[in-house]
Amino acid sequence: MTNEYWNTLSVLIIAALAVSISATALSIGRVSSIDLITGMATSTPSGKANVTVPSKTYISLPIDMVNFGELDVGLSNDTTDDSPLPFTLRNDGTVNVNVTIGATDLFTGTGGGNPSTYYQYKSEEYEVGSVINTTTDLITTFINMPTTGSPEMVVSRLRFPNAYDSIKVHLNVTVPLDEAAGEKTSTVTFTATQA
Amino acid sequence: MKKQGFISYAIAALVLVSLAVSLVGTATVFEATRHVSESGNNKIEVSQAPLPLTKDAEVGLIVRQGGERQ
Repeated sequence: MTNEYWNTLSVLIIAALAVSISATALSIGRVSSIDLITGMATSTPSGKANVTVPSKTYISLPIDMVNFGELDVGLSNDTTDDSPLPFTLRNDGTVNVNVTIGATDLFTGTGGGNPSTYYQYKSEEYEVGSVINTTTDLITTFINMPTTGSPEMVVSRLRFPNAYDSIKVHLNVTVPLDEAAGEKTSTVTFTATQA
Repeated sequence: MKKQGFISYAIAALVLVSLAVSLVGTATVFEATRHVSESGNNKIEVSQAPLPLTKDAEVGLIVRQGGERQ
């Protein structure tokens, strides 16, 4: 094999290496200009990480049973004196929530079906600052309990930070004069949506 | 001598073919990367609004028999 052949072969190989290295450098340069590619080393020592906390609606009822005990017909009782204790409603999610309330009938006497003055509710802050505006975000006076099918607001903009995320839901019951004796129960349904 | 020359040119041809394949591969990878990146720009946005949550509670009392009427 003459020197001419070797020279030609060497030139071709060097040319191939040069083109390959240039193409690789060009590819890396072009790829690095695309922002969406992560994990690639950069020339700067700082980095950026994006974390998105998902919106999560979650409420709980630390006190979910109110038992008024025995009551005579025509008599009333409420939870404003904490006897019995009112419901406590807590926002355990990551967003402020609006909560509605509705309930099944507690009484069967005349006019005892919901909504009626025999079965009422209102709301109050359990932790100060749990709502943004105590006048507009709470039900500050007793109003008639709605049906489950037509729920109404019990609290708006209930906040989620742990230090102030709870309210009390008070009840006021009056036994209708013609209510039959016996045990009475009502299921109260709270529904939370993102505020 | 002619045989050796043929071998040399054959090797050179192989090198050139390899180079061409390499370039085509690089271009293909680059194009695929660009496609994936552009797909990322057009990702579907899913609503983050959480679903309503429902919790039940109970109220109970006992109406006394023969209680006073007011």
